Amino acid sequence: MVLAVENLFIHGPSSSGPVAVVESLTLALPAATTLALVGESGCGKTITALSIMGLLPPGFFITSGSVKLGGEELTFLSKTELRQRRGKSMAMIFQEPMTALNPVMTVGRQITEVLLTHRVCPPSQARDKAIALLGQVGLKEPEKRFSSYPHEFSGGMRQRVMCVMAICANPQLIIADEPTTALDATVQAQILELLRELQSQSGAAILLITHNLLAASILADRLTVLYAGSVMETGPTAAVLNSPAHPYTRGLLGSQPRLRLGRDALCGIPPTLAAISGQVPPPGRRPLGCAFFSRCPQALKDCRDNRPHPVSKGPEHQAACFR
Amino acid sequence: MTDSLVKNFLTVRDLWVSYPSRAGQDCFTAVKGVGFDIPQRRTMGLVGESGSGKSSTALAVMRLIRASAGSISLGGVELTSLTGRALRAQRPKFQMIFQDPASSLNPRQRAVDILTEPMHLCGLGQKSQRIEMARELLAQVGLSSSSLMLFPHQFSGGQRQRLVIARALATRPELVVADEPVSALDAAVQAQILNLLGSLRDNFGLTVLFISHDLGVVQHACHEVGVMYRGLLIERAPTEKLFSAPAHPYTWALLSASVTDWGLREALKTIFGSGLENGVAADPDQKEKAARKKSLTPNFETTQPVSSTRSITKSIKWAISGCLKESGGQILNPRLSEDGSEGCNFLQCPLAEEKCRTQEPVLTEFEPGHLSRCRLAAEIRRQGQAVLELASSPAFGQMTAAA
Repeated sequence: MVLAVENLFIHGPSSSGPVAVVESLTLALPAATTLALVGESGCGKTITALSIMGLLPPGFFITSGSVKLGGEELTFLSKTELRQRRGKSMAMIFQEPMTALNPVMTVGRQITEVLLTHRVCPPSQARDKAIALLGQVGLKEPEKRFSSYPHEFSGGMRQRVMCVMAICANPQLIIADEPTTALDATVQAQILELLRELQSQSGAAILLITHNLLAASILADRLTVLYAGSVMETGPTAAVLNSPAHPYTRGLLGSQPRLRLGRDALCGIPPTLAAISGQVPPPGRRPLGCAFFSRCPQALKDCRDNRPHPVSKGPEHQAACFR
Repeated sequence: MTDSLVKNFLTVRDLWVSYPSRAGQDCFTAVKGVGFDIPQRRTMGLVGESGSGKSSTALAVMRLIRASAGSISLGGVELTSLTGRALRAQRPKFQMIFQDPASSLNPRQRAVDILTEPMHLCGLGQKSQRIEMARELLAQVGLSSSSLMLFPHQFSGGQRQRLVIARALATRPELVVADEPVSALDAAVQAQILNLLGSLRDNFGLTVLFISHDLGVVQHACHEVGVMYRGLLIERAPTEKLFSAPAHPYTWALLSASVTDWGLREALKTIFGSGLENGVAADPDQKEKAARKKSLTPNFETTQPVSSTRSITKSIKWAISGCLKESGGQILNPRLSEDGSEGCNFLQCPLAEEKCRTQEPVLTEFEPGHLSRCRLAAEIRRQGQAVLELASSPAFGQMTAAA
């Protein structure tokens, strides 16, 4: 296992004291595989990613549970030790490349900085290595790009630069937080394709964070559906998409307009999407029982007071639902 | 006023939009002769990548930027020639919904002011009536009337977009231009807003110009779809027609990037993986199964072979599997390829011949209601139909499951 998260609880600040943001989260991610963490905003996806990276914002704490990277417990590490791991054994690709890159430094300098910090190569070779990496992610004229500034790049190209910075120290784990949300559909497909290619070359594990279940299916081997800080369903991509076992997963799938091609397109489109009504309850105002209780169309009496535990729905496929 | 003008509520003809470039006298032309009609109470979708000119078209229709040439007629009134007071008098009739609700609402205005200001500006009702109307609007977009006194930051993203929609409806418009109305929203909230837009369109009898880069959203929300590429409308068809099989290589490329249906993608992969051009499949058993399907589907191998049959199948394969990866992120970027060539502007087209480079194709209606700017339109559509038919047939699903 590259990444093993077990029974993780994260608490965050609120006006009435600390509240649980992520509850009892368990993830397992072997090398060269991709796990997608799917859910709406406010479900705790990004906080989970930041906690793994040791980048939790002020006021947020891991209260219990363990995060192991390649067998090493991360929650006990000091700031300095964490800093040594970041970039070297785990790296993160952020949603908005424009704000994640430094606007006043050339792209080349930002990449060589990572190479030199983690002593990936001697300083004399850093430039050549960075240019080679820029070529590897599909940028044309990498020598010229090396000395360009981020504003000279299009959104897709900037995200490619982010990919270079993530892979340049050859980390075991890449966390991609909504890497394609800010991009056009065509560029989205390209970036997901690029991530897959980089993964097949380096064998890194990818934790993909997204709210788009269908986009996640392009890249992910497994899906974990998160709602209000708790795991609703987890399983192999095909199993979750073909036979979603949790009402929330079904809701997410139903609420996304699916492209219908060929003869399906002629059948006509249902006038309304099966939207999930309401919104994610904020931390601190989550139901006592099942987190999805307040929006679930199939809620039972039991669901209000008792929290369902994950039950097996198929090989490696689990869902936390009484039904 | 002729019949066609009554029938087509919005008529755009040969619209050109240019932006002056800072470098010299020459300018960047974002929209090059786009034309379409939207009948009353219908929704027309414009899709394309960033830089394809779809937002410029929307802004020109809204008269927020000036068209450099062409005509825009709204309910028989020519908008391009109007200025000043005459234009303002028309403004209540056409309103806009913006992409990002966070930046299109004044953070220092309460919901009530956001909604009553447009009413006030176009002289709708007395003050007390306007507040009552605002309350009604909120109810219509699914917000409680208690939110009347709230500021934008007190709403969630989805609620804010509801407020933006309510504001657009405040002047009782007949045409609404929605520029990427759900792109900034979460998947689950997207569905709520799309449903809301659909019901409002029916309740208010709105005509809608819907701009989006998401083909799934467009298919769901629109009656007719236009595909834009580098300032040109390259394909236009009723939604069912376009998605049953597009007739332009670029639309195929765009489509391939959006195929997120897990089953369909696997099916397409299998088809192209098994070498479609050399008969349906090499396996005799599969060939037999495929033969059985022939009765249901027009098989392009059995129909009259055209010189380019093979290459068109290849082109669709290209569009679906390889093009986006090979491109290095630049092939489809409309801004990066050089301008000024005389021929077709889709320079990366796998079907391009010498003819395409010298002669610019025109938007032709090759089938009733289906327009494409490609000389091979009919052929591409016919073969694409066969490919998709094969991919989505249940027999094929069983075949791949067994394999």
